[in-house]
Amino acid sequence: MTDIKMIGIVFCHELQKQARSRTLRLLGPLLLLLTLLVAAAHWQQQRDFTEMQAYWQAENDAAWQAQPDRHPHRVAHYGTMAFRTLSALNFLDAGVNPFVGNALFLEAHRQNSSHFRQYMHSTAYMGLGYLSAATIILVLWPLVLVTIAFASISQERERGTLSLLLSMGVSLRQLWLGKAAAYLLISVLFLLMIFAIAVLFMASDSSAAVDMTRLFVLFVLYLGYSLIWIMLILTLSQYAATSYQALLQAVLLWAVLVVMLPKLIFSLGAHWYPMPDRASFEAQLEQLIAEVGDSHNPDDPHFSAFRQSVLDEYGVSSVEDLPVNWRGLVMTEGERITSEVFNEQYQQLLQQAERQNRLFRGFALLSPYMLTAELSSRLAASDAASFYFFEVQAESYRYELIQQLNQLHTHEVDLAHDRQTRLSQDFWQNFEMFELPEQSLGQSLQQGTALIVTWLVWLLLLSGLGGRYNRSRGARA
Amino acid sequence: MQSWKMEFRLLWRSRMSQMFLLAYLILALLALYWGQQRVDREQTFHAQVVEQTQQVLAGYQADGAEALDPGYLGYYLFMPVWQTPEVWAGVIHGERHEHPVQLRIRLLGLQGQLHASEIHNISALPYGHLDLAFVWLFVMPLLIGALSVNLLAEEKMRGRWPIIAAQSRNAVVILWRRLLLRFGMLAILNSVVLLAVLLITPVSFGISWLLVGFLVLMYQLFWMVLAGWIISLKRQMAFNTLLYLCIWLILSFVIPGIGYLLQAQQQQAAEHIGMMTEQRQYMHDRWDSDRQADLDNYLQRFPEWADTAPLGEEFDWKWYFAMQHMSDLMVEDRVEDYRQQRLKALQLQQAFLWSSPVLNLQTLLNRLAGNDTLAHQAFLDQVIAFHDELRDFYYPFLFHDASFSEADFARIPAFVYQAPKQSFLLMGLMQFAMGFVLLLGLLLSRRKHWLESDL
Repeated sequence: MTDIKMIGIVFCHELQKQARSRTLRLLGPLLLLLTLLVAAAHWQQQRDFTEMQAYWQAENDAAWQAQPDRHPHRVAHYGTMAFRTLSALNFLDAGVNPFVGNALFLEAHRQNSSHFRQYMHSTAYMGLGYLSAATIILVLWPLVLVTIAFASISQERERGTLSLLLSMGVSLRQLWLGKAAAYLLISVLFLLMIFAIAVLFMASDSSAAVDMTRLFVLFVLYLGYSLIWIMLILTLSQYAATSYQALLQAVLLWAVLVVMLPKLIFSLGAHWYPMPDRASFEAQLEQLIAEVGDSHNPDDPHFSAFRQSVLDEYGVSSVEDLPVNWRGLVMTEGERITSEVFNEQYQQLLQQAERQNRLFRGFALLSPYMLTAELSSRLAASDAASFYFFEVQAESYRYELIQQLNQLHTHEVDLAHDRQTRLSQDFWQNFEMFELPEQSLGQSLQQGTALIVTWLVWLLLLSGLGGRYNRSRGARA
Repeated sequence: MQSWKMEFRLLWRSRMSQMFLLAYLILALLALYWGQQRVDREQTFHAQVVEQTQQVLAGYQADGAEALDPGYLGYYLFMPVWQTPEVWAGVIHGERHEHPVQLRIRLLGLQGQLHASEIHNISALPYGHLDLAFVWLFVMPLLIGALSVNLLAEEKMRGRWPIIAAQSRNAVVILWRRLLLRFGMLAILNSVVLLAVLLITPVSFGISWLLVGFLVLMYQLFWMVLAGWIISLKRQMAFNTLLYLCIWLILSFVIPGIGYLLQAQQQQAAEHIGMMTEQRQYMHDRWDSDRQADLDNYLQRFPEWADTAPLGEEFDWKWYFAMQHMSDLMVEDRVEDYRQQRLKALQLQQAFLWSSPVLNLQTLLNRLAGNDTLAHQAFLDQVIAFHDELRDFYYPFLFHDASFSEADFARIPAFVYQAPKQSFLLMGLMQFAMGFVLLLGLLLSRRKHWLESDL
């Protein structure tokens, strides 16, 4: 018989067996129901949240426009709000979204932190991970696969059917592939149902920007992840002494890779590369800024030198004689210093986080779960990088905005009547409001090459080697 | 006695149980050490902030009290406030690091200062960090399952059960003995961990230590009894393992997850943004309106400062801080609403503690460690009260033109956190008992398998 035909027979046989098994008939629908329930709830919440954010963004923009004639520095303190909109696929993989603030107040002199998470309720009680469609697929689906596949080869051996099959000319490789194909088909059905509903949700909302490429790649990712587990389980089933041993080992592997390892790594990371808390970070920032120059201190060396250089530039002897507003210049210089120090410190913070993440990515190479979870949140644009992207974009917008206002202060406001001056509202009505640019798929996967390659290596290695080495106990027997 | 010894030797010889028990101990100790370190780091951060504050103050002091503009001080001086960790905080992190536990507060409008987010490695947030509570709550049940759920099925599978059963008049006694032995072993391990708690953390021997020990023991008992019920079903090993795992997942993953979903469903998304925008809008509109009228308005509300001079042409700090305070009062309803919603969410959670012993124990432990919503809300409330104190300190200089003297530096109020003493222990235990009775009911329905030896 040809290779394909043999595999086909094993495949059909295994499917028939699974169709008769009560485990799958019970677990499958239950899990599907749970996933759909969770996805539907998250879809609803995501829409509500996006709508509310749009509302507040519109309120904010309208309020900005409606500002009366004001002193530009007043406007700089009034500031504006920047909102981090959730990505369209957030309802499948929420990633970091439930844990971070999504509203950022942008004002002069200060870099605020993002305020207010999506919901105020604590996430601390979900010790095994945030319940979302992605975690159900990544955390629970492997266990379903364990349930249906742990005995696939070991049982044939225990019942003596393995040597029978082998003597009939079925190679172990064919047995593997046939069974793996059956489990893969079950996974495809499970995933297809979830993704079909997801597409339905997304199609129902015309305002949501649907990125079908991301959705498709996500589907492929989950499918590959299922295949990796199938191959792992089959390997255990082939080499374990008994079916029960195979089950125990598979569950143990799952518990280590999924439940314990990520927490262990990040705890180790936080231990090796600790990060400051917000208060000490800001206190230090303040100290560093004061060291560079204190614009409120008339004798400050930095600002004295700055004054001299400005006076020299314009060839005048006192700030009152300058053709531009000296206070505006001081504000501009002050903002420049604050931002420079902040960016430097913020970069250090990111570097420290990156050190922790490098550790995580290093260990992720050993764990298909961590690899896939990281890639999944990137594909859903709900990963940590997407949050930093927002913070960086908002900060650069803030800096531009404030410096534009300082420019107005310098050139449009007369120093002699500085405090009494009001500039026409027309000036800021022309300002562009903050808009978060969308991250392209390429941007989301930036610096992810190693992850993708490792993921592919896992996939190919396991599928390529599966059943090739006929050294199981059954074969010897 | 002889048979106990034999059983003990059997358990001790099994390489697998040795490995599991050892791994559990190592994981628990690591979690304890790292967990405590995380909270110890807070101490360092707090010390840094306090030192920086002292330095800033020393700078003002060096310039002399006479030269000082109190309004300027109120604007630029940040006072540290810290939700001081209670003794169990490093063992049970709970909700501790979801919000900043340390803030720097100044005399400006308070609401804008309260809701900053903590610095985190964002990538780590979905996974969380390890603490001993996690090991107890989530890992220990797995260990119990691995050690006991197949006690009978394995012997049967190996064909040893008839021989073992023949040694005793009532074979079920052997199962009881084995279960008790495993329970005892684990209890000893947990005692070792609890002793390590005494060494590594600020926890000292006393009621709370005994209480935690008791709770952990009860929790252990719950999972042990569950394993016993599964044994009494007399099914195969794979079935037992999968059933136990399924129940574990439902109790520790699905129920808490659904709980969060329900809580979120009750809230209007992003509604507290209104708190921020409305306050800001009010604040900035004041610059464009009649300042004397606004101040008079304020003084009507706070007559204790009413005998102050009218505003001049120049900028006046007293108008400024009054306006900032007013902006807090403008959003008072929203703040109260936020507060009520949090407490309501907490109540909802408490009402469902019977549904999962994992959720139950975690809620009790978080309360005990002072790392829950209640504690954080108390912290916020106390910071609001502290802000009143700050105002009482500054206002005489601003409204009554009192002169700032050297001695006044020492009078600047400092914040001390008072942990709320409330306890859900009784209610939690009652709900735990409810869940337990349910389980015992299941067990009783199979009592004849537990009392007779028809295994």
